[in-house]
Amino acid sequence: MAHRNSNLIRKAKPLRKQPTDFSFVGVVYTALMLFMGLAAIHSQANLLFAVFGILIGVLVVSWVVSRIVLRKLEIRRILPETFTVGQQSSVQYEFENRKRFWPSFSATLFEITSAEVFSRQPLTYLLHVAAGQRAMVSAQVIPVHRGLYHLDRFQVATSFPFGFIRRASDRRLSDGVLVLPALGVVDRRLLSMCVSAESSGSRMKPRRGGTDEFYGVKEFRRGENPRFIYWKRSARTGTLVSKELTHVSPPRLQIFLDTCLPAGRRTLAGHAAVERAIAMAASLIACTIEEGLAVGLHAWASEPLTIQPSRGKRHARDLLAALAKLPLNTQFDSSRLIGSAAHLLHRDVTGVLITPSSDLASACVPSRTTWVVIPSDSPQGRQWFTFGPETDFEAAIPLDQLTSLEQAT
Amino acid sequence: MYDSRHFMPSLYLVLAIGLSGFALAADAPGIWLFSMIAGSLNAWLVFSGRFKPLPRWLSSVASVMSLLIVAMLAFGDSGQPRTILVHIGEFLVLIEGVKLYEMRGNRDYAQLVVVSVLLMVAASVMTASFLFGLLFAIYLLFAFYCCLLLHLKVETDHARESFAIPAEKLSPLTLRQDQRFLLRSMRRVTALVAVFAGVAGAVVFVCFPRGPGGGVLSQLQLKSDAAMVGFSDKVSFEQIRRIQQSEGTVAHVRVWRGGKPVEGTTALYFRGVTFDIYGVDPDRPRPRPEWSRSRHRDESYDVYEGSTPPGVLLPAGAERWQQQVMMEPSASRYLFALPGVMSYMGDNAHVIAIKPSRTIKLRYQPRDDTIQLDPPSQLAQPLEYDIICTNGPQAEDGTEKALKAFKSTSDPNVLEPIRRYAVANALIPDITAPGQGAIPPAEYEEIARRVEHHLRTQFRYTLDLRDSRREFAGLDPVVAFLTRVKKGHCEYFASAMTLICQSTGIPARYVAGFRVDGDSYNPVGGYYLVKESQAHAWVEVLTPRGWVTFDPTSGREAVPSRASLWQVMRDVIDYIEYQWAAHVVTYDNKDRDRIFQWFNDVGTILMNRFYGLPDGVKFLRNVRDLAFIRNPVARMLVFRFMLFLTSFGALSLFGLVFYSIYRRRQLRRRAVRIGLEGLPPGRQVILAKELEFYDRLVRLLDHRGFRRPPTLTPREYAASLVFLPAAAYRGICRLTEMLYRIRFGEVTLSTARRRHLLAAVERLEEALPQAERR
Repeated sequence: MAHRNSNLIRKAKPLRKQPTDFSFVGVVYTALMLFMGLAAIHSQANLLFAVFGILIGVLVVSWVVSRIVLRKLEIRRILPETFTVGQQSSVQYEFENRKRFWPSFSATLFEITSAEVFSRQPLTYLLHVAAGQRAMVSAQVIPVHRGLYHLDRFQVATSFPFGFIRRASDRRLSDGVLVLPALGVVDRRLLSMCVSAESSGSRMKPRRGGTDEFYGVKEFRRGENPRFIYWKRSARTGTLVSKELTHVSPPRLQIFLDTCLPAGRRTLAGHAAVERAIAMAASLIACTIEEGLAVGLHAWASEPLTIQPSRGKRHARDLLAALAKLPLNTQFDSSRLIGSAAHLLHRDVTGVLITPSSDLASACVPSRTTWVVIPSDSPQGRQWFTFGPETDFEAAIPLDQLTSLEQAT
Repeated sequence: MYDSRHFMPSLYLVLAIGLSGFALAADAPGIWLFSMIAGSLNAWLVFSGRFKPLPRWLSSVASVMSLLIVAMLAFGDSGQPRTILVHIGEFLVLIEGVKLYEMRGNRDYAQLVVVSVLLMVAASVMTASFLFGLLFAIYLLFAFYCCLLLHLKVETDHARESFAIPAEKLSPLTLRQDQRFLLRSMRRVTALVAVFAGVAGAVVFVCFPRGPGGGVLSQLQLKSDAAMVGFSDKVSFEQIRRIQQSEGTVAHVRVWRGGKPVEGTTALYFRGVTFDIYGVDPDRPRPRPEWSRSRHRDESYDVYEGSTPPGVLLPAGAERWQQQVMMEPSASRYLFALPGVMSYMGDNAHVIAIKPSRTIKLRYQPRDDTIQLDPPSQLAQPLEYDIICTNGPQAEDGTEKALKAFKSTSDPNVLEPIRRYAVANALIPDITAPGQGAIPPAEYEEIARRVEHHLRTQFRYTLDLRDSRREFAGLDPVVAFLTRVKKGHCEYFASAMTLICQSTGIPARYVAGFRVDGDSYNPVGGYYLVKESQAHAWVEVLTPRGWVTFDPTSGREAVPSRASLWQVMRDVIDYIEYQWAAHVVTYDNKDRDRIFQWFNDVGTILMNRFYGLPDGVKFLRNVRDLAFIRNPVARMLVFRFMLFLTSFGALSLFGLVFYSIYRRRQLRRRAVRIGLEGLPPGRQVILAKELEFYDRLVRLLDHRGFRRPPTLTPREYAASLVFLPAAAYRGICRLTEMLYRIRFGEVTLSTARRRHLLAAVERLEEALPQAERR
């Protein structure tokens, strides 16, 4: 679909209801009410006049109650720390009814700002929150665009009590949404290439805390596994001592992510290839850190961005967040990328170059280290990374890039 | 999420109250019993999990059958007079029963509630009972509650479908909150809705102008064929007896004698209608003896609110009996009153004051002192009227002439044996004997007293004549009563005396009405309660001092009842009913003006007190100017304008509704053609609007002979058209891709884009080859 019409990519406008709206049921009800009035006038039956008045009262009270429902209804959005493209996540909304006496019923919440980030406009439904109480409800969303966005305006609507009148009120509450690139499954063969025995063996550095070789002894502390108690030494010294074992120092990976998309090659397919490369990098980072490897990143984010290899979940989050925010790169190509990061290439570091273009593989010159080059659109790359069928890299393009692409085309 | 465990009990409760209300209004215990059994069975099936809804086709058949049954009841001769509303109500009851056993989802629940509301509205037109009013208020409260729960259920189900809400990760607190506070919150909202609706109902009830517009839909209305109770122009035997066997309330009557209230100290004879011709009507399908009236068309007067029958004067020395009658709906065209209707006092007092003052027109006939509705129709609404009478012999203009000119028109074949019987028993002189002339009018009263005494002492009162059928056989009932049976009820006594008098040339007439004894007096409310069981027949004989009342019936004297707790309770309940009828059911413009005037007076007092205005300054200069325009022409113009607006608004809204339904139906059909029938209906409609271009494309291709096989998806179908010219093929592929983006990609089209796509389909029409059916 390279020649896709850009107008067609535009998502549905976020659903937004009018502040007060008369529903179809309301119209039918009003018609019946008028006929009841005619019947009362015709028959002059006093009870029918009373019934006619009651029907009018019900219509009026619909307007009043729908107003009451939305009054003093505070809403807080509780977002997960990050979202991931293509993965279903849950956004929690806390409704607090600050009215002293009146409850709130049957309210629907629609996100308006940045709703197009998600596959469907985030919607949720509140059944009931009593006076002075709080209730939590959730909305299931699937983000489709990578990047950092702000959820701001949303709308709460209700047709309570009888569905005759729909009332809505616009609210503002600013929250940041960080949508990480899509995460796929990484082939074990790629992992083994990155952590090959010949390169990782030389980098082993004993460190206590593992389960490998004997490192030393220490005083036994309560809560430790009794299997590690060194009974001979304990018998000699009279106090319980336990063994400490070594931990193998992990291999270090430095991922070089090429996101260059020259102005002349800016098409939907080109953007999709970049997004695939970013998603591959993210998948590799998530996978290797899970394996215990130290991973670093070098990419272009308005300026060269370098993150030294390290381990741990926080580091992984930092790396993925950096990937999520990567802007459009039209100048900083792979050779400049590698050139600017020569100082990162040590003997104990495996370099992984992920690039959207297949013809740059030969440009990577290994120097004092092992290189793994992954062209994102190559069959090999597609084999190493498996993404879910619902992952659409054309849709994952950040909204600002998509807009600029539409303007450019 | 909300489940329906609160909703279903409230629905059953609302239906039960609605059915009870209708049964109460229609006085149909059979319907109540039937519907309660059906409803209870249904509830048991539902709550025990054994319920399986009827198939739609079966319920449709049952609905049609219900319609046929009710039509048969309505047009067949069931022997019971009923109004058209009762038949409509019966149909609604049957439909409700069918829907109960058909209910599957929210639509069925909503239909059940609507049917129940219609049932109560129909019932509210049929009855003026306070008990029904109370039931109606309770019904409204529960109906609001039920509707609120139904709305929550509908919204929740809708949300579940639309948003695909998964099992929520709610905290225990939230879960508890839903279960613990939901009903409390719902009760609060219900109370608010009920208060608002009640206030609005009261305001409209009080302020809406009455009078103009009554009968505005008469041309569209089905004629009522029913009579509930009352007297007609002809009365046959056993008719009054049938009325006597009912305990229904006919009226509440306050009586003043010379300005002082009558408090149950005397029996009162409220006249309804008189008859003076006895015979067999050969035109009837089953000829039998009956009483009928002489026609006095030329001597009747129209009586409007505030008008006076001409020539009616209160005789000198006559007592002034004033009656205030609150008459319940009945089929009688006759209003009843004490004898001697007259009250022209020379001070512009009204003879008959009618309330509610709407479109009721009455006709007074001085010849027999009766008042009837004109044109003759049943009294569908309660009527309050005031009458002033003499309650004594009614003087008639030209009494002497009438006495001389009287000649009975009753059947001579009946009169002769009766005369012989009366002569044989020395009740009357034998006027056929030689030398015996006509009886002088001065003796009429004495003879009548003799006959009355004879009947009272020699004949026995009974309602049960089953053992005397053989004695009645082959004879006129009155003759048989006098000569063989010697017992009977008031109709026989009154007929016998009337015919004895007529047989000897004494003017006499048979009167049907109500005899009310002292035990019918309600000391709490200060009125007489007139019941159907008090229906009675008696005789009036014309004497030189006028028409004198005689009651020959024996054994009907009231037995003084002892005051008991039950009696007091009955009086209190009846008093409430009376107040309800007097102040709510017959509320009219006068009451409305009175209320406004009261507000004006209170406002004036407050203004004067707080702002120190002089007493002469009124809060409003003329409250009636505010209430409504006084000028009748302007009032009519305003009314017509309001009527036009209301009718136009209602018609427009209905037009809109019908158009929406039609449009929705069209879109649903289009959705089926495109293959969207698996989606929820709302989504189908939205997508069908967007995908009009694809529908046109498929129809165009079909027209050109390239029918889409149902087994192919749109994409496969487009791919199968590769043999078409390249431009057409590419266009079809692009449009098909567009279909997919809209259907699965959440893409919406602007109006301009839709037009563009429709234009693209039109262009394809030119690119496609002409029809070459494959």
